[in-house]
Amino acid sequence: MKRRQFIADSVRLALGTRAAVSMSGMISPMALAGTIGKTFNDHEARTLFVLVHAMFPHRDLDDSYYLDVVAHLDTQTSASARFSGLIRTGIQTLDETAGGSWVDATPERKLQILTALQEEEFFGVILNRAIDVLYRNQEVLTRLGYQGSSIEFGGYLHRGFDDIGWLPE
Amino acid sequence: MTEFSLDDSSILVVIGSGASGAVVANSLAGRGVAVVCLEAGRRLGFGDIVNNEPEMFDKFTWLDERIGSGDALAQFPVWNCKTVGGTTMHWTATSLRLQPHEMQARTTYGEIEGTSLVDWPLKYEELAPYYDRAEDRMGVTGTNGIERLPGNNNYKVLAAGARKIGYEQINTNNIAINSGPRDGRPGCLQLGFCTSGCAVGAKWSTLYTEIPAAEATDYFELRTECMAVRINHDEKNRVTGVTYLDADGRLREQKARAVCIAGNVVETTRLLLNSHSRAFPHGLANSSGMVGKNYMRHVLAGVVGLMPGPVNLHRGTHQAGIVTDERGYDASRGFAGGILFLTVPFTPEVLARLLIPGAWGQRITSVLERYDHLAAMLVHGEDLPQESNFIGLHPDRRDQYGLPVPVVHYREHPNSRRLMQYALHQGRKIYESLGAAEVFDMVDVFPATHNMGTARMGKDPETSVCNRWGQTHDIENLFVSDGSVFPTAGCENPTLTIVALALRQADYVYKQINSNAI
Repeated sequence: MKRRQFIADSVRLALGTRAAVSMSGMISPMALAGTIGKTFNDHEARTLFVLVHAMFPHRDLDDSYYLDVVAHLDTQTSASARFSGLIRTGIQTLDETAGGSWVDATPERKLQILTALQEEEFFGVILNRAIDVLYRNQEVLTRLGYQGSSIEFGGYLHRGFDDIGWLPE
Repeated sequence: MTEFSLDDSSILVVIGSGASGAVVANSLAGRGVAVVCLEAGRRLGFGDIVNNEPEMFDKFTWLDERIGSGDALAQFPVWNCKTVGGTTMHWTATSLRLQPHEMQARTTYGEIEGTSLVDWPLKYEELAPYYDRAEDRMGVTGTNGIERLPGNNNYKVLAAGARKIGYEQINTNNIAINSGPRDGRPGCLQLGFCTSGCAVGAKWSTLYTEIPAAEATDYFELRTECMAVRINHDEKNRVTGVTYLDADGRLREQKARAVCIAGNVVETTRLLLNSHSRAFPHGLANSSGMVGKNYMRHVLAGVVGLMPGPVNLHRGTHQAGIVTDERGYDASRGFAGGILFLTVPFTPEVLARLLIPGAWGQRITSVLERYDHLAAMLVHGEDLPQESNFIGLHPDRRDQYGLPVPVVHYREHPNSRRLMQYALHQGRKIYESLGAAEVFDMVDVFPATHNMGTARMGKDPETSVCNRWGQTHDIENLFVSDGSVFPTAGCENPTLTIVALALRQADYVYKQINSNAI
């Protein structure tokens, strides 16, 4: 947990502001994050970061949540040779398909390549891990409108379980 | 706490502590029959039940390997629980009776190619008094003068849309969740986490109803983390005991006067098949060859509507909302069986995975960002029995107990697809009638949560495993207590019927013991 926070904070500190992320991949907060990660090099970390963002491109969702996913993939990669092989083969496949560096391709080209590779095993695995990390984070869920645990507030009985106002009579 | 000796052969052993096992055990212990209940899972307390779906999933789901084949999900064909209370921890508590005609399915629907439709060996009228008792015991709303639950936003959307397209049978369901304090348990707080175990105990679960009631009798011992591996019998083909692995992995045998198996179909089947012997080379009580066959679940799919205003479907009781206009049998619809429309919430995580499986990019985030505008329902219909759908044993894969891994094979009958298409069409109309911007079908993405049919009751020992009491034809002191005994499925969620049958079986077992028949 501490490490993930460290990565996110470091990125912010390094840029002096929230990292602006775009499909261009030109801004490289991951260069720093990658050096902090256990196993990924800069290119791998940056590629995965942009990939995960492309998979779930939420408007106004802070970089740190996507960095959490990369940190999770990093941990898994250092723990399992099979996982490591899968992720690294995936990155290679992206780059080979791009004829160079996928992360440095144009946004349109990047999406084109992802669409072509979406049935590959690495893609599905990263997609699932991204869902695990992003959509189990209550901060992300709250932004989406899922309020989560309610027992500490006495449930939704007095907090709008039946407050719908737009239905026809 | 009562403790019984392993050598005590006067014991009734019940395998499983869920809806059927705990009810049979408590009914008999309450009348002075000594019962040992073997439960494979751990015992949770209220402190363990938190409002977090993935955390509770990991805590009480049956995650030991099972292999799905055919149309069953390959890696997770069945979603049920391994914990004290069994699947009553995760059930949504819908408690509807079977309709009389559904217990006469062969007569009602006629012969349908590819099915093994039969009539039940008992009539609805015979089960009705036990439904009465089950509803009272479980505190089912809308029965016994128990007020129904208030409807949440997701219900109000379903109800308004259903009325718009002409449906009239719409209410907040008959559900075993207290609408007010009853039976020492509080009323529902609309927590919104029914399938994660009810943190206040408003939902009926045997963990905090039947089990402690049985423990208060001095005639009941619950042994947790005890996995039954074999049922033993003597030369007279009477069951003599149950071999199990205890919490420390030691092999034990509890002697028994009689055995009731309540392992939620998959484990019930596996145990019978694993208990083969010289006298029963194809599995215990399987002279008919029917153990494991005729496996049924229910037709199940989801409909999600992106509505014109906020719904916040995550707030409140999951399934306190139902439309039953399509519940009956109407041959003009082009399929056999009935349909229920039931409210259901999904978390963003579940939608990210299953709303459009494999989807990524703005296609999915644009929907998730409107999470508060989503309404959702399940369509739920009768699944017809087919002898070719089965639960079996994998030839060489073994689990952590050293037992053969169960294989769940299921192929959808064309009748089921016709029923589902009709139901999805109607479900879509319900949301579209209110101006839904988009409606999604969630098809072929859910594991089975209802399991039935693999030790069917019947009159003929050649074609069925159990008689009308759930007593096996082959072995008079061996009983099947769970949904395995259903000859056909009906369109209703099965638990109320399982409990009614368990109460009825307990009465029968008590008489048999009292008259020294077993």
